[in-house]
Amino acid sequence: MMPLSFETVIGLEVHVQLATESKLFCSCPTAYIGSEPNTNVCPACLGLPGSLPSLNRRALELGVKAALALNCSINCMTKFHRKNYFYPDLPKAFQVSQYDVPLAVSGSMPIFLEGKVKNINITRLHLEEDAGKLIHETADGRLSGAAFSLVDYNRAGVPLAEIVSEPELSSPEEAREYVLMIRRLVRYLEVSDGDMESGSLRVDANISQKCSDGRWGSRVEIKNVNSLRAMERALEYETIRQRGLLLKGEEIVQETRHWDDNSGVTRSSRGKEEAHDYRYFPEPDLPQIAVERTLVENVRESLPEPPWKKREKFAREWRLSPADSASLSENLDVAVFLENVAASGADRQMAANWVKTDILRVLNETGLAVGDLQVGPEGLASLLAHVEKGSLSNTAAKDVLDIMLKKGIAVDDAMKEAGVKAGGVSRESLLGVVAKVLGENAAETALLFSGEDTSGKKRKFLQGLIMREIRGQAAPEDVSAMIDRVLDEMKG
Amino acid sequence: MAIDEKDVLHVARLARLDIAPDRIEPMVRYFQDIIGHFRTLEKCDTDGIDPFEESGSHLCPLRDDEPKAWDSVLEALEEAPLREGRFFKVPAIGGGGDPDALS
Amino acid sequence: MLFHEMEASSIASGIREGEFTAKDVVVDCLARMRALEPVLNALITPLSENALAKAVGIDAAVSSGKDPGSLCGVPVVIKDNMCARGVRTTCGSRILGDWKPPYDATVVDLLEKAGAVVIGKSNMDEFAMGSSTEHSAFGPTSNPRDTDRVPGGSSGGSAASVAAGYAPIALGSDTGGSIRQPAAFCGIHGLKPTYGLVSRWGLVAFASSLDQIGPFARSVSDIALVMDTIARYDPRDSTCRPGDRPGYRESIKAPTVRGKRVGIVREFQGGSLDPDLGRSIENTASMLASSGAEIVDVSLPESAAYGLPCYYIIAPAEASSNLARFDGVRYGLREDAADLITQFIRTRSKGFGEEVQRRILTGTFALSSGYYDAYYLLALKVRRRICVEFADAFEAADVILMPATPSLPFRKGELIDDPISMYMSDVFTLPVNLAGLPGMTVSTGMNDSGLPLSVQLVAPRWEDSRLLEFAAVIEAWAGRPGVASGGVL
Ligand SMILES: [Mg+2]
Ligand SMILES: [Zn+2]
Repeated sequence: MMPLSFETVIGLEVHVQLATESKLFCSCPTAYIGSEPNTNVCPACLGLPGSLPSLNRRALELGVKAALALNCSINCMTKFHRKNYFYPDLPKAFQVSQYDVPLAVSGSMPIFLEGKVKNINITRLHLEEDAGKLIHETADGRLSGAAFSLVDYNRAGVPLAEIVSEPELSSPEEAREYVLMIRRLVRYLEVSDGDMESGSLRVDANISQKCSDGRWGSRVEIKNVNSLRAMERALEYETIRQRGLLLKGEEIVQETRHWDDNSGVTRSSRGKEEAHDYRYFPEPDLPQIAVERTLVENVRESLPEPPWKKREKFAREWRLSPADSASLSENLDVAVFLENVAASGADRQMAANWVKTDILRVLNETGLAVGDLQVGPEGLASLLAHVEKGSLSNTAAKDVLDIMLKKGIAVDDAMKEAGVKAGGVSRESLLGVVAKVLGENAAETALLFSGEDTSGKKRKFLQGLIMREIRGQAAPEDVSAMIDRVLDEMKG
Repeated sequence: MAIDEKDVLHVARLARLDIAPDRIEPMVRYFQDIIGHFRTLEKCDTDGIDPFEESGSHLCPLRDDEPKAWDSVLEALEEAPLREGRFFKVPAIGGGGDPDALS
Repeated sequence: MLFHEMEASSIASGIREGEFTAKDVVVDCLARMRALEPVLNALITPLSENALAKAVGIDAAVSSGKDPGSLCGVPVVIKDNMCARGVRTTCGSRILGDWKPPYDATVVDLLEKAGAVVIGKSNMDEFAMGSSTEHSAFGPTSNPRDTDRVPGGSSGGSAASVAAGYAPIALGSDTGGSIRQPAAFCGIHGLKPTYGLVSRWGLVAFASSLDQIGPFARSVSDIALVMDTIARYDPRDSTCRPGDRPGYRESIKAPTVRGKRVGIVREFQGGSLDPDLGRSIENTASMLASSGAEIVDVSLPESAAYGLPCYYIIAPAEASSNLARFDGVRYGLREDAADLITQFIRTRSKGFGEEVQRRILTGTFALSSGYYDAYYLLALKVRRRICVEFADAFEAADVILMPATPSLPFRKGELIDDPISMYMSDVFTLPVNLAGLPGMTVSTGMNDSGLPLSVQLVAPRWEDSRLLEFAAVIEAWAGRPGVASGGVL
């Protein structure tokens, strides 16, 4: 008998906190991190009796922006629903979310894995309000065993975009790549800081198994995955658990399970009798929303090229290595910086090398953003032009770049400071001068050639003559390298 | 459709209400009566009606994204039946709650 | 001087002109209130001290040459489901405990900015669910025209306050008739404005898509005066229509019905309608005809057949969600328990009265999985049909004239154990809420037993001023309602 084989089917719901200044349905500030508990609250987000919602235009725009970048269709008439359930972090006992007419539907996004591109379809993108935060009052901070919980509504009402994928991811690794691409995208678009640690990007995963004998395991929803690593581990755990059950011929219970990061297992989170019944119905306090054409078009015009397009461009058109294409498209500012360096005349590969090593290094070391650098893309391009002409050696150019970065001065001034003069000799003319000087000083050259110049005095003498001839317009090590090259040629 | 005690108790559970034992039977009868009234709606011809076509009413206005702090937060906190510092305080979540985060 | 019998407009102008002071007026009204309250129980929270202090402030402003506004020194009563900052707001329920809202409802703010003096928060059916003001955690209110009878509801306390002369004007809220039915029972005028005309910010919601705040008064001109104050666009209520409102007092300067078409609803005449109320419609129609209006027949068969069940699905469904927030965490009553779900259940079961629980359960059922399409969605569709039916009727008529209530005020306790019969009280008013239309109860005097008679006028959306114009003509004929004795002679 053929052994059974399985396919894993994963769909993700990613909640992205939108980068607005005020909350989704009230004017309270969204900056809740580091705020005293219950400071950024008002009648609306505390759910005080008599309060009403008013919709934040910017949240709608950011939702449209993400949706357009994901190639979704925007519903020109959209509406909000109430999702009713009791929980102390939900001040109105319902979450204002979207249901049958979400902001956007039917998008797609590619992910890259092991050199292949896979297109993942996006079911929908909708807007909803976040809940408050619960703090469980026990020594170990765990939910079970706490006698009391404390509630902070600073986060309640912060706008979220929920992005729901089709169940088309087939491994925890693909799920990881998908989340990373969403994160890259929302950062590109500046719709969110996409930070998983602080909770501005949260993932719920649905996972099921398709068995080679035709059986389909029920779908299980995993919650409480607070990092990429936790998501991967939870999906791996669930894959094994579900396959084990199917191998034993058992049914998979359709349920929500919570990931326990400490013990590395998922746990069933509710009794069977407590079924979901959110009693969705249209939010009567918010009339239908017309997503106006002009709003959509204005947003569309502001869209940057998405990260996957940049990555493909670097790989296909620029012929950068897959690794370089990936790392240089990770961050929009870096990618655009690189493009501008090339647009200012630098060779693409050379520009990529310099951005990848020197610029990224500085960014990592200093924690600066690209925009904060003292050197713009034109500045780097003009430096690289010297390198390309041969009028600056690589090493000298790095010194010059350091000065440029430190002092924010133009390449010519930086070269002066580095003791390298502007308009330095080209590689060709340096070669000519070296050959000429070596020819004119045959005795010293012979000593160099035979390796008898052990003290290096003769070499220094010759180098001095060459430097005088070229008025110091080349780096000493370049001159020295050129001497070696001419000597090599003499050796034949 | 006949509504029975089980249905009424299920609804009460969803609504986080407790029906006293002696009120269950009258409540079941009330449900049966009121549902009888509801069912008269089935006689209304609603074919092709879009319930969300809102003629004469207006569209949702949009607010500018300008943060504004509310100056009466402390008054609101004073109203909390149970409080710890600036936190609202609740007993442990315990069994039967809906521990779902947002989904 | 009997200030408590005066119109709001005369009070305001008298204080402005220095003929008398706001304090004189408030003292007289408070005396009236103190004398009648033991019998009527129209207020949950009297605000005598606040009111006197406010009146003194107004007098100071007037004497220093300032104009405190169009409601200068006018005593008003506010239904206790509207937030007034720092003042206990109960909604007639135990569940709110001693909740003091940390903010003002927009209407309260607008009234106070116009110089009004809030003298009390009025009694009401708990969370505005009821038609008799017997479903209040603070005891029933009596009808000042006959204290054995109910004042109607749910804004019964506001209606009784105006009828009894505590104040010339009061605010109520109307979800299915809660202004118009008590106005009819108490023999005064009451207007439910077009949905979206008056801001609901600060009105504790019963059914969000139906609730609307409106005024009670003993004169049409006072109704117009209040409307000029409270009918404003408010960006805090997304269902509030942007733009300016017409001048309502302006619309009744020279009221005429000449050439206008008045629709009489065939389905609402006869049947179980009280004969006196039927005659009131006929007499009013004859008068309007002799004043130059054309009387036409209109038909509202679906409103008549389906209005009640449609309403009793939609309103409880919204209420079940609106009232879910009362859980003992942020405000109001909290019943102690060792775990959270028990706290929720105990708090809500103890805090809500029986009728409210009944409606929460009904609404929860109508929205629950498996029943949504069969009940809630179907009701929404029927609601659309009712809207269309009214729109068609307004092709034939400029205004619809129909009864406000099927019966004269019933006796206390008469319907308390028969919730569904109680719901029938709203059969003529709730279709108007379903369609979002303006509707007004206009007092047409008393029957032979001294019980109040009335008619209801309904106009197309945003034509509230048309209602006022008709009401002014009817009032000129039937006479302005006087202040009731309140059982104290
Ligand atoms: Mg969600
Ligand atoms: Zn807020």
